[in-house]
Formats: sequence, structure tokens, C-alpha cells
Amino acid sequence: MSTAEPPAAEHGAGEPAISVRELRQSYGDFEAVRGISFDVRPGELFALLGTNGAGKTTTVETLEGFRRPSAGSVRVLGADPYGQPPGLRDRVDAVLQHSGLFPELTTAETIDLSRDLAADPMDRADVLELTGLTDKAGVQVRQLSGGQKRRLDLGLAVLSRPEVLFLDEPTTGMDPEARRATWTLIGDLVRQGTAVLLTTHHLEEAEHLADRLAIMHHGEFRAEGALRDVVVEWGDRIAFRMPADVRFEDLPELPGATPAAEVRGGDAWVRYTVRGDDADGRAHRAMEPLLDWARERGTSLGRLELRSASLEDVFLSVAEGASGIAAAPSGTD
Amino acid sequence: MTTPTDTLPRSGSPEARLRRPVHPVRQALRLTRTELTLIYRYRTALFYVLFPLFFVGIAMVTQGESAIRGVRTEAIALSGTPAVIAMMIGVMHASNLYAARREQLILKRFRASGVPPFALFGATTLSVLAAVAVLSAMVYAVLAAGVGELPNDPVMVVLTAVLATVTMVLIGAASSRFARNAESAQMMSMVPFLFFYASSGMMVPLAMLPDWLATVCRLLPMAPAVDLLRSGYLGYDVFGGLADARPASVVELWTAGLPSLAVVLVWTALAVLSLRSFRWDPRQPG
Repeated sequence: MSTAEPPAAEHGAGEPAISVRELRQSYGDFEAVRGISFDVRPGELFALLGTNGAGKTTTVETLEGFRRPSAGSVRVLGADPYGQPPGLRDRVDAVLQHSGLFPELTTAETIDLSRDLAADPMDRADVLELTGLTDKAGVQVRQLSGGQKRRLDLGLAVLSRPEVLFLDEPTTGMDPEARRATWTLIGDLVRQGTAVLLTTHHLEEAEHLADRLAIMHHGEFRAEGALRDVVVEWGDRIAFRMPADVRFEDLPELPGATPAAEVRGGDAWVRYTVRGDDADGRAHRAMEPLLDWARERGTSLGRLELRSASLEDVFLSVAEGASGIAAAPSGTD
Repeated sequence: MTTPTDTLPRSGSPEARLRRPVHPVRQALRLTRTELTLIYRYRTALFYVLFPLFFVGIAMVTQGESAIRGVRTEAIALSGTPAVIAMMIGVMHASNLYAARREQLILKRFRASGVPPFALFGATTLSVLAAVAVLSAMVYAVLAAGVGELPNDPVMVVLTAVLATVTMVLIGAASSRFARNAESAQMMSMVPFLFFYASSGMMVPLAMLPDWLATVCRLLPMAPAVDLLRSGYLGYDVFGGLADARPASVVELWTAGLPSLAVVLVWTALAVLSLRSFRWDPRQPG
């Protein structure tokens, strides 16, 4: 509400379904979200990764209309979502971080209630089938397992066929099989044109589902983009134990790589971060002169390792607050 | 509450263009059905809803000199009870319900999936209204059978009972904001319950209070509601106090009752306004 509201009718095809600009959220002195921006288009899944307390849920709750931005703006289908305005109510749905179900109702009663409240809902049998809860239809919700409740949450959120779907850690408590089935379901929704904002702790989930993702830490995006770009920008890693007779200044220059010293298990280590556009060949091009240098010096590189970047590496280094990662999204080198 | 969404172009699937939102009144009626199911299944709710019968029992055995010549003591006591029933269920059951549902994130999920506040509060109000209607009918049946008196002005009686119910349910819902969870809501609801009961004129006749205190009570919601119910049921103008009560025609009753009705309506409006700061999310700041 801080800025003039554009008429919702201006929101047309091709526009982002979710738009966040310089969003900030503060609780008293604590700034939970510090100026993030992103868009999610119809038929796209954007994943927000991050540690607990990174500001993911606060961001999602702002988009769900439970919080007014402290600064910046958010738009859902072109409208300000604060207070769940009537124009958005039947077009947006959500799986919250925790289930909010009546324990005294049965699974079928719960689905029927949501169906009767929604415009053009899916059939009860379809929802039961989709969530794998057909044989639990007559069971009270209080008797469902955590994973089953989570599947019911998802069933309730999708039965209204929303255009925008917020999923806050939707697969928490699910067994691997249910998680796979849920991924398939979410993937189908995205293919059908739903814009999905997903938060998750499961990197595999993000790798599996996300068209684009952002890694959040202390309220900021520390890495953002398509999965491959995030990983490629982060770079490959060459590491070895610092040979006893070598000083840091003696280390060779490797193409596209920057060296850094670190301590692992009480030992001094060297770590080269290899970046560059040639994601396929860059590790090899950097490793070759390193081995040449070692041979010429007659030095052995103890416990030499080469790791291609993975989402897990990026995530962990963000979570640990490792230096250098903050520069990654800007695409230096 | 029903801005047509047709003005918004659909960015989703083609079939999405065809759907029409369910009207909030229909949503409220659908949720009322669930509320009634839950009252039965959620034992705490059943207890709260049946709890007023205990106080009705006390009123039925009230003895002593009648305050109005020609009207039996039980009739005076029982005719005002729908307001107390509405207050007990509203203040105790509704606050417990909303504290529990907020804590369980049920309210938040409904809002996140687009159910408007009107439908949620409306459903609770309607379900409590059903309970108040059933209990009041039981009380009035006892009254009619025992004393042979039927409500003199049913419109005044029903209108007052409805307004009292709406007011008390919404006050109960709004007051749940101050409770951390359902248990503390249970404890806390004793305060408004005792306050409203003490100020109703049912626990202590207003005539026994100092004048200034009786005036304060008449500006609170309960005493005017009780006066309206008594007058409407008994056909006596009791708005000037039981001692000055006299038989009155329907027109005279409404004329004399206008100030009381106005006070009740103001409280209904205040109760609606108090929901503006309602918290849907237990973590919500402020």
C-alpha cells in the first residue's frame, strides 16, 4: 500500500505472476528481509533456498498477504496481496509451513469443505488419488501421519486450481516415495501454467523442480538465477594440502582461478576457485598447469581434490557465510 | 466483499477463465455446517455450549418476592436468559475457538486459500446463534409451560437475542487476540464472563446498585439486552427499572426500548470494528 496501486486490469499475459522489488521486512530492530527482488512467471517455479531464519517464510507470508512490506513492493497477479483482496482470493492458494487442519474432521470432510469453498474445484476422488489418500478418506485428520497431513495440505491447495501457488516446505515429513509423487504433481502444475514459489530445505527438491532459484541468507539473496548458472558462477574447486616447503606467494597462477588459503583439521590448505564461461573445460585448463608446476618443483600435492560445483556446495558455503560467495551472483571473472 | 474478479485477465489455464467465486454468504453457510459438526466433535465446545444450562437452572429455582406486581419471579429471571446464554457461549466458546484455531494455523490456512473473514466470523456467529436459539427455546418452553406466558413481542425478543449473539461472538473472537493459546483463552475468558454477567442485572438486580453504577450498566451491552428481552417477553415496560414496570402495548414497548436498542446496536458496531485488528497468524507482529 506504500505506492499507488496499479489497476489490476493492466496485468496481462506475459507479465510476471509474482513480482517482488527491493522488499524489506523488519521486526523492531531486526531486519528479516533486506532488499530482495525477483519475478515468477506463469508456468515457472522459483525456489527460495536458505537456512532457518534466512527470511524465506517472511517473504512468502508477505506475498500471501499476511504482512505489509516495511519497504519495497510486492505484486501478485498485478495486485497488492496485503489482506487477501477479493480479486486474488480464488486465484491464489498456498501450502503453509505447518498444517492448519481441523483434527476432528475426516480427510474426505476436509477436502469437501475446501471444495465447497472454492470456485470450480477438482473432484474429491481426484484429490484423494492425487495425494495418495484414497484409503484414508474416512480417517480423522488427527490420526494421519505428518507426511499424510502434508499431502492433504497440498491437495487442499491445488484443488482450487490456483494460478499462483505458494509452497512453504511442502514435502516436510514425507517419505521418499511420497516426495517423488509430490514432485511429479508440482511439475505437472507448473507445466499447466501455474506460477509456483517454493521454499525448501531439500536441495534435491530444488534441483528437481526449480526453473530458477535463489539462496537466501540473513535476509539477502546471496546467489540467484537458473540452477546451472548459479552453480557455474560459483565455480569449480581445486584443493590440496599446502606443501611444507611452499609459501602462499610461491603458488602458481592458474587460468581463470584465484587461490585462497584455508585451515582444515589443523592443516593449511590451498583452495583454487575456478570460474569462467567455459564451464566444461575450465577445471581441466586450470589443473594442467598446476600439475606441471608441481612436477617442476618436485612437490607432491597431498590429498589433491577437484570438485565440480554442486548446488550443495553453493548452499553450504552460503550457509557457512564463506567469503567470496557474495560476489558470485554478480558474475565476476 | 464480492468485487467481481472477471475484470482480472487470467494468466493461468483456459478453464480458469470460466470460474465464478463462491459468494461469501454461501461460504459462511457451508462453514456453519462444519462449525456445528465441530461443536459436537470438539468436546470443549460442547461443554461451553451446554454450560449456560447450569445458570438457567439457577434462575429457575430463584425464589422471593416478585419485583413486578402480577409477574412471577421465575418469569422475570428466565425471560432475560437468552442474553446471558449468548454472552456465555460468545465470550467463552468463541474466544476459545479462535485462540485454538489461530494456534493450529487453521485460520491462517483459510485466509491463505482465499476464504474471507466475513465467511469465517459469519459461520461461527451462525453456529452460536443456532445453539442460543435451541437453548433459549428450551428455556422459553419451560417458562411457557410453567407460567403459561408466551412472548408478548417475539420480534423484539428475537432481534435482541440475535444482536446479543453477534456482539458477544465477535467480542469473544476479538478478545482471543490477547490469549497466547487456547488454554490461556479459557482462563482469560472468565474475566469478560464475570464482568458481563455482573453488569447484566441478572446476577444482581440493577435496583440494588448505586444509581451511577446502574447507569454505567445500562450503557454496557448486557443490561439493555436483558431489559429488551424481559420487556419483549413479558409485555411490560421495564426500561425504567423493574419497580416502575407497567404493562405496555407493542408500540409503547418499542418507543420505550429505543435507547436500549441503540446501546446494543452501538456495541454490535464496536464488536465488528474490534475485528479490524484481528490476528490470523500467531506470529503476526503487532
